[in-house]
Parts: sequence; structure tokens; C-alpha cells
Amino acid sequence: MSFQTMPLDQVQRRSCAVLLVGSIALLVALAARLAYINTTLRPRLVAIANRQQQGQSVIPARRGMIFDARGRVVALDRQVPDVFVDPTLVDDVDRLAAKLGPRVNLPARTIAERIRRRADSRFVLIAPGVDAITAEAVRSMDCAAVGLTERSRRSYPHGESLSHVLGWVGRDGQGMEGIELAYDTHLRGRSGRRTMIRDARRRALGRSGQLPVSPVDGGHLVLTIDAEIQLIAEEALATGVRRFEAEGGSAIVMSPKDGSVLAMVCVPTFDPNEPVTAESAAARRNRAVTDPVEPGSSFKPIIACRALEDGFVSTTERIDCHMGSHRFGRRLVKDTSPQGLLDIRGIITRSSNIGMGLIAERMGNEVLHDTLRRFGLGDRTGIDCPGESSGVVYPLHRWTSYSPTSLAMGYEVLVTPLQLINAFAAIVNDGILMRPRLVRELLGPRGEVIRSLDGPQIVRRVVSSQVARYMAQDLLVSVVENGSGRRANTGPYRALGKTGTAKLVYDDRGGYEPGSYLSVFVGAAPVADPQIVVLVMVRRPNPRIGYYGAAVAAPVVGEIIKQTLAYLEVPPEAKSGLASL
Amino acid sequence: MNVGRVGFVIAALTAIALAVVHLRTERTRCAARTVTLESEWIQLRRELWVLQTRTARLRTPQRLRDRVVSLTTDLVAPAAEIESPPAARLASDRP
Repeated sequence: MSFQTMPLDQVQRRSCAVLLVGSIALLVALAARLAYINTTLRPRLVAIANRQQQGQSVIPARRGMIFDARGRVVALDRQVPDVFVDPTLVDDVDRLAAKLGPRVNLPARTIAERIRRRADSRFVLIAPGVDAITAEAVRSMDCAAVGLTERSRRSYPHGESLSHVLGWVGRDGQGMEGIELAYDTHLRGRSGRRTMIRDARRRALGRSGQLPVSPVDGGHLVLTIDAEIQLIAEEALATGVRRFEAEGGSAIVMSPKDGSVLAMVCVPTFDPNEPVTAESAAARRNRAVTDPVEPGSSFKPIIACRALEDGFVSTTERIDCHMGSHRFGRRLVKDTSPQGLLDIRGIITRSSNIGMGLIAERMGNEVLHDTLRRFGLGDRTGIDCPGESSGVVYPLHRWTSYSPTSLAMGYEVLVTPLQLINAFAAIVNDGILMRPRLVRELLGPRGEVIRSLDGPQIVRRVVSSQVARYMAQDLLVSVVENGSGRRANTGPYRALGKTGTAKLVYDDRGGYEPGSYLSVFVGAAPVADPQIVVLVMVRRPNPRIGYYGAAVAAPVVGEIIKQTLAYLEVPPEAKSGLASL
Repeated sequence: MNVGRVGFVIAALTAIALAVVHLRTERTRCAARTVTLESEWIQLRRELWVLQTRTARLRTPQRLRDRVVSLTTDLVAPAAEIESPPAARLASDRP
């Protein structure tokens, strides 16, 4: 039976069946394609869609704040806008550059060059850290290719003050120097991010379904430094450096009882807000902890303490100082002022190199070497400041028969200003050496105390209490009241201390540089119960104006003591008799 | 199936549809509000940081000294030399 001879209903039924089978086959094919797209192709397609529709927005974490001992903020983060261009959205580079240039105060040619150089990139930084007015001017352009992104920037409200202690932070928010580097892990936060749905012109339309990752702010720090004492020390040192036309200097103020550093100053200084503007890389170095120097006569009390302790000299013995000129072997040693017979008080008060050299000869190399090590010289103090030098104490086998004489005058040993003041503080602190510190507390992001470092950390006893007291309250007081340190005796407070003047070596080669000196004074006050120890070192003062520690550094220490004790509300003390051994 | 039942089914489906539309609208509104609040939070954080920076600058010892001088009050900045305060000097200058 042919198709034409088939009854009509049979024809219809067959057509329907064909249509049904065809439809089912089509639907099955579509379903299979759908399943293929939803399984095999899905990851790739989702990635493409996300790339087109979504954008990540960083929620910046805040780097922790740094406070001084009295809760003043000395370092904190603030957000600044950066202007950027997305070159893939730019139609006419020159037109955009001409429009953007005046707003960000940059030549249009520079902007065009930057865009063309990275034409394939989605982000070309044009002007980092612009102010609010510039940001508003850029925003008013309403151009899809130009955008603003927020960036945290470290701010140091005290400017140049505290710069060497704090250090600074790099563009990526990483600590580069000082406390910022030493406590980078604690201070640094963890940025959050959120995913935004964007339109074809990359404008944010709303948040995607993904949960945002919240930022975790960094922890805070509390320093032992007091910004007011820091300013006092800075002003006094800067005045001294200017007055004597010196190359620079360092000053440290420390509490002898617990080793807290109250101020640490280096001149010349720099602005940590703009560290690249520093005169040189050397100006950014915290010389108070990184640069060891020969301390000159300020070293004598350390040797004298051990000599008294071990009986190499008594308080009553009088030593012939050969009227200011004496040969130790083939080396001729001279005193600034010729002296005859002097007891230990006279030797320290007049700073006699010959007297001290004769005592050091009696002690011998082994005892002297042990003395240096006992006072912590040749070792890092352990202060929480990166780049600390351990100084130089030569191994015993390199010492010669001249070494005792050299050490008696503060040569053949290199100490950092911090090591010197710490050793001196041990004498003032009844003979107990403390570990110096700059940080008092580590706080969490919400201000909770994570770790308290408040409390003295005793290293060891370096000299008996009796000898330490005799040295501090008799011999060193005599230096200030009757001897070379008279210029430190200013104001209503009695002070004790020791002067020092050392020749400096050339920066780039060996040998002492003629006319190049280091003027040192290290002192403490008030005498009865010393609250502060102050060290001042002035580098390369103009010798025509003055170079002795007594003339250059002592007045600076006097000024710092006077102002700091007044600030700390320490009552002036009455004159009293000297201690005796 | 009578007309009443058909009407009930249509009404029920319409109600469900309206509820779904309402829920979706609310969800979108909440999402938009969340985005706004997040932006405000970021903005407030930024303002807080700016204010903290400004306060920190005002509290520096140098700034306090300058303020004491500019205000010519009897206050003495910490550790400043104590001479006759400006107000006392003015009083003593009067005939």
C-alpha cells in the first residue's frame, strides 16, 4: 500500500510519531549539550564570567600605632588616594592625558608615556598619595578609565623627632628601619577583600554573593621613650652641634634603674615621612646603636671601678703623674694639665692619662679584658633596635704591652654610645648592669595588653655596691663640681659624670685624622638618687671653637639634665657631703 | 474541576509568585544596604584615621610649646625656663 492509498488517520499518526521522535531527539540533544556545558565547560565559563563581571576590592588593614611612654601617638596610618588609569578603557591617550595632567599636576606627556608603556596592563599608577582636593578633581572627571584607589600611608606626627628610633615604612607597608622593622610582624595587619559585581565599564554595581574577608588590623606598641624628653635632648644636642660647627652627634637619656631609654637622638636627622629626602643614607642610620667609637677618657671610671674592686689601687694611695709627661715603654703619654702626686679621686677628677695608665698597667691584660666583658662591651646590649653593633673588644691574644695604657685613655676598644651609657648606668645603679629597652608594651588591635615588657631586666652585677657608690657619689661628683665636667653643673641639680675626648680615625682609611675629635660627656643626676643618665657625643666639632668633651659635650648634658629633671618634677637636692669607701 | 477550584489554584500561584518577587526585591535591597554600610564603614575608618593623625599632630610637645607661646597665657610648657609669666609681666608694666 502506497503512501497515497493510506487512510488519512494512519498518515496523521505516522507524522505525529515522526514529529514526536524528532522532538524527543532534539530535546535529548539539548539536554546533553546543557549537561556538557554545566559540567565540562562550567569552570572555564564561570571563570570568564567572573573576570568580566566581578572585581576584587581590597579593604586595607591598618598598621598598628606606636605610642610614647605617655600615650602620645608617634606613628600611625592614614589613608591616601592614588590616581590610576586603566589603559584598556582609554580611547584617546593624548586627550585623556591632557585632561588629567592639570588635575594631578603632571605634564600630559609624562602621563601619556606612562599609559603607552604599559598599554596591556589594567592598572597604571599616575599619582600616588594625592591630597583630598586633587582626589575630588579627578573624581569630577567622571571618566571610566581613571580611578582612585585608597592606600595606607605611614604618618609620623612628630616629624623629624624620633626618626632614628622609629625608622620608617616602605611603599608596600613593610618596616624598613628602627622599631618599624624590629616589630614589623606585630605592627603589620592583614588586608581584607570583598568581591564586587561590576558593569561593562568596571563600575561597581553591588556586592557579589561571596562573603567579604574582613581586615585584621596590626597590634600597637608603647615605647619607653618620652617625646618631651626626646625634644629636650634634640634641641640641646642640635644647639651644641651648631655652636661648635660639628659634623653631628648622638645623645641618649636613660633610666639607670630599669634600663628604659627615655630619649635617643642623632644629628643630623631626617623626616621619616619623606625618608628619601635625607641628606644621605648615613643620616638615616641610628648611630647611637650602630656606630662604635673609641670613647676616650669617659672610659676611665670603668677601669677605675675594677682597680678599686680588686685592690690594684686604694682610695688613699697617691700616684706620681710625672708632671704631665711619662713614657710607657717607648710610648710618650701626656696629660692636658701637668700633675704631680694624685690619688684616685684626683686622677679621675683631672682625667690624668698617666695616672690611669699606671693603674691599668698594674691590672694587666687579662683583668682588663675581663673587665670589658663584664661591663657588656664586645656584646650587643640586646636592645630592641635592628642593626645594633657589638662594638670591638679585641681577643686577648691580640693585646700588646701597650694595651693597658691605651685602654686607660679609652682607645683600643670600640663601643657604641648605647654600650657606653649602659656601662656607666651600671655604675650609677649600684653596680648592676641592666638590659636597655625601647619598648614597654605590646598591645593588640583593640588596645589590650598582649605582652608587657615593663620591668627591669638585670644582666649581672659588674662591680660591688660599695665601689659603685663610691665611684658615683664621690669621684664622679668631684669631676662635675671640681674637675673637667664643671660645665655640666648647671641649674638646681647636682650631677655626676665624666668627660672624654677621643681622636677620630678617617672614615675611608686607617689612621687618626688630624684635628678630628669626638667630644664625650656621660653624666647622671640627681646625685643622691640618680633618675637619669645622659650621654652626649659630638662628632668632629670645629677645633678652632673647641673640641674637648668638657667644653663641647658637658654643657649639652647639663642642659638636658636641667630640663628633663624639671619636666619629671624631680625636686632639686641640697648640697651634701661626698660618699666614702 | 469546577471554576472555584481553578480560581483557588490561580490565586495560590499568584500569591507564591508575588511572595517570591517580594523576597527577591528584599534580598536585593538588603544587599544594596550592606554595600552602602560597608562603604560608610570604610569611609568612617578613613575619617577616624585622618582625625587621629590631626590630634596626634596637635599633641606633639613642639606644637604645645608653640600654642603656649601664641596664646601668651601664664601656662608654662613642660621643662620650659620659668621666668615671669606674660600675664604677670603685663600686670607689672601697668602704672
